[in-house]
Amino acid sequence: MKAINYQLAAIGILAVTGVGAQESSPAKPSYVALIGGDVETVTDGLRRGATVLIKDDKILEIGRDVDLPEGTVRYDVTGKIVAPGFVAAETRGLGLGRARSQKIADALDPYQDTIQLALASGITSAYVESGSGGTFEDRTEGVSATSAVIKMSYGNLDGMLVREPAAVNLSSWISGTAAQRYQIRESFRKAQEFIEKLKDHESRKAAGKARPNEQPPKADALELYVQLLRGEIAARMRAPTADATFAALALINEFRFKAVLLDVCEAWTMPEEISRADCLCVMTPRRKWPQDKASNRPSGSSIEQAAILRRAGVRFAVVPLAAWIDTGGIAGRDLQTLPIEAAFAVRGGLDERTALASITITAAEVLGVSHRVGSLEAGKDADIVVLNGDPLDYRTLVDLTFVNGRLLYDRSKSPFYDHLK
Amino acid sequence: MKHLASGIRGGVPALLLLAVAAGRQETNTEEIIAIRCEKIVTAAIEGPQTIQNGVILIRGRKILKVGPARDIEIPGDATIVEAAHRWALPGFIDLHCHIGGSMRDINDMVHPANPELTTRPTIDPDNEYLKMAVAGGVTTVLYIPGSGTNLSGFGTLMHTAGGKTIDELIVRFPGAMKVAQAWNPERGGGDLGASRMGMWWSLRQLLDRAKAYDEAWTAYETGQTRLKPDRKGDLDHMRGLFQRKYPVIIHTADPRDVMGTARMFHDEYRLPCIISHGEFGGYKVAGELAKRGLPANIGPRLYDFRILVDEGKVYGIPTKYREAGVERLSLNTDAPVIPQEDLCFQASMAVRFGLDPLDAIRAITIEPARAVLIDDRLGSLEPGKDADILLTTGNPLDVRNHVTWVMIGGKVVYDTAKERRRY
Repeated sequence: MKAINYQLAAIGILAVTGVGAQESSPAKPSYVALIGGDVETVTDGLRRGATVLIKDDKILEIGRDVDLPEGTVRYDVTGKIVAPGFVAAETRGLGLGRARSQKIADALDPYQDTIQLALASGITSAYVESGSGGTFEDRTEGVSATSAVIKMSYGNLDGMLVREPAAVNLSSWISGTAAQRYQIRESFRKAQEFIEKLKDHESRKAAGKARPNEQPPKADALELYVQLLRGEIAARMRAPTADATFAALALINEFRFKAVLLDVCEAWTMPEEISRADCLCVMTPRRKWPQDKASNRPSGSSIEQAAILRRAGVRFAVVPLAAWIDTGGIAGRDLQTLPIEAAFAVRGGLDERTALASITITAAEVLGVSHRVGSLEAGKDADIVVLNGDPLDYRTLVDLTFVNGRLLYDRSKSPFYDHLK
Repeated sequence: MKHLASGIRGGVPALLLLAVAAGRQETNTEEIIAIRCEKIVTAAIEGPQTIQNGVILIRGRKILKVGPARDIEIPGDATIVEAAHRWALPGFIDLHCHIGGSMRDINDMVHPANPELTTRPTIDPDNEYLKMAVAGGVTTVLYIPGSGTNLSGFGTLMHTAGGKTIDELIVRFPGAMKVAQAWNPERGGGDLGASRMGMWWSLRQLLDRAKAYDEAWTAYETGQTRLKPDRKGDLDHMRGLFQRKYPVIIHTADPRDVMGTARMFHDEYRLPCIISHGEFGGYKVAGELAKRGLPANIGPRLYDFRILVDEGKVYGIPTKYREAGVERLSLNTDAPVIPQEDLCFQASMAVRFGLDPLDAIRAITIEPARAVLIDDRLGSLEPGKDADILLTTGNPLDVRNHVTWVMIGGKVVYDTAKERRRY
C-alpha cells in the first residue's frame, strides 16, 4: 500500500524548488522576505503584520520596519500566520533511504517520497532512528546510537543532517532484562570513574605532576555514557506507565543525566517527581493506556496530562499517534496533522502557547537542537511555515514551507491540496 | 488564537445542576428537565439548524420543546440545567461500529453467508470502549459483525450507556443486516465464495430464498392462505429487510463494487440499504448513488490519495460524494479502526478536506439516523424525539472543545462535573 508512485507529486514539488531558491555562492548573499503576516515567533510572542527577512539559510531580522536589500525575493503573506517549521520529536521512516548503515549520515535520502508530504504538513525537522529492529544496537552496552535530527530539505543533501547522534536510546533500562539493567548501571558507574580519572589526569598535568608521556585515560565503549553524564546528549527512555517512569527517574536521579521520557501516559499521576528530576517528556494527548484496576493509586491515560504537567513545570513535546506519514486514508492521526494532536492537549486544558511550543521549540529542546530551530529569531535557521489560519485549528493548511531558507513547498503549485480552499 | 468556547477549562465544574424542587409534588406526570444553553445545533430534518440562547425541555425519555429562550416558558417545577457557555447537540450516531462486545466475537467464519448470526448476545454493557464512546458524545451505535464473510450476520442498534443489561441498551434489534462485498470476505481457500463470482451467486440464492420465505409467511399472517410455512430460523431476521423495517449495511468500496452493491440491493431486491466505506475510488460512481437516493456511510478512511488514479491529489472522500449530489451522507469510525470516541473528529477531518461543517455535523447525527431508519426517534433535537443530548464547551468540530455532559433517553449518563473526565 505504501509503494505509491510519487512521480506526479514530485513534478509539482520540483516545480517550486526553483522559486526563491538561492545559488550557493558565498560571495553574493540572497534575501527572501515574508511580508505582512502575523508572525508567531513562539519564543517572543506574536508580531502582527511583521516582516521576516531571510538571508541565505538564516533568519536575519523580524520586525515591522525591515529594510529589504536590493534583489530580495518578496512574498506577500498578509492575513497569514508565519510560524517556525514544526519539529517532530519522534518519527519512523522519514528521510532515510533503503541503504541503512551504521551512520545515518550515510543513509540519508533527500528525495525520499514522504518528505514531500512532511513539507506539505509543515514539518521541517525530525528525529530519526536507523535500524529500528535493533540491527545496530550495541547490545553489550544496552544502547543504540543510530539516531539523528534531520531536516526535510527535499532535494538537498547539504543541510539535511543537523546532528548525529541525537540521543542515546536507553529504553532497555525499562523494558530490558535484569542483566541489561546491570550493564547500564555499570556503564554509568565506569563512565563516572573515567571522568574522575580524566579530571585527575588533567589536574596533575596542569600542576606539572603527570608522569612524562602519560596518556589521558580512554573512554572507549563508554563514550556515549560520558557524553550523557556531561549533558552533551540526552537519553531517551520509553515510559508509558507510572512504573516505567519511576524506574527511569531512579536512574536519572542516581546519575543526573539529561533524559527524555517517551510515550508517557501516566506521567500526570506524578508530575512533581518528573519536575524534580528535570527531564523532558514526549507524549501524545490522545494516546490511551488502560487504568490499572488492581492499583490503589490513579492510573491510566488522561486527556488532561499535558495541562497537568505544564502546571508542574514539566516541559514536553507532542507527537502524533502514528509517528510517520500515512497515505492510506486514515486522517488526523499521523505526522500530517501534528498541530492537531497539539490541539488535543488544549482540549485537555493546556494553554495554546505551550501547545504550539510542544511541536516547535520544546520539541527542538528534546532533540538538543533548539539553538538552531524551533522558533523564529534572528540568527536561527530559516525553517518557516506560512499557514492559512490558526496553527491549532483543525482546518488550517500549510501554504508555504521553507527549509534552510529555500521554498520547498507551495500549496498552490503542488498537487496535494491545491484544490482545497 | 481564540477559543470558540468561552467555557472554563481546567476542571472547574462549570455546569450547575440546580434542582428547583421547592413544593414539588409527585404526580403521575414525569419530571421535566430544562437545559438552558448558549447554542443549540438541532440537526433537524428541516427547519433551523442552530438556535442562539436556546432552551430544551425534556419530559421523561422525550424532548418536549426546543427553541430560543425567549419563546419557551420553563415550568416552575422543572429541574434546570444551567449551561450558559455550552452548546447542545443531538447524541452522535455511528453506523459502523465493532466495539459493543469483547472485540473477539464478531467474526464467525463458518459459512460463506451467515444470516443466522447476530451481535446481540455479544454486547458487553460494561465495556471500556463504550465508556469512551459516551465521553466523545457517541450515544448510539450500529454494532455490526465483522467483514470476515460475505454476509456476517445481524447488527444491533444500541445505546452506548444508560443500561446495565443488554436489553436495556438495545435501541432496536435487528439494527441492520451486515454484508461485505470487496476484499475482506474473499477467502484464501478454494471453496465457494472465494471470489466475487461465488459470493454474488450465494448472496442472490439467499436473498431469493428470504424473499420467498417472507412472501409465504406474509400470505399466511394476512390470512391469504391457511397453509403455515415451515420455520427457517436462519431466514427469520431477513424478513424485516423485505418489510423495510431495517436496512442492509454493505461494506463495499471501489467503483465496481459500490456500483454492483447498489444494483443488487437497491435495483434488484429493492431493499433499504446503506453503502458503507465507499473508499478506494468509490466516489467515482457517487452520482449513481445520488440518482437512487441511496445513503453513503463514509469511513474510516476519509481521503483517497493514489498518485496515478487521483492525480496526486488528496481528495476528501465525503466531499467527493457530496459534490456528486449524495445528500444522504454519514460518517463512520469502523471502531476500533478509529476509536469510537473520535466519530466527531472524523467529522472535523471531513471538513478539513472540504465538507461543509453543518453537513459534517448532520453526517454524525440525523443522516445516520435516517439511513438506519430510526429518525423518528433519534438524530436531531426536535419535539417528540428521544432525549439523547450532549453539552459541549463549544463547536465540537474544533478538537479543543470537549463533551461535558451526556443524556441518553432523558437520563444523565456522563457529567464531567461529577466524575473523572474521560475525553
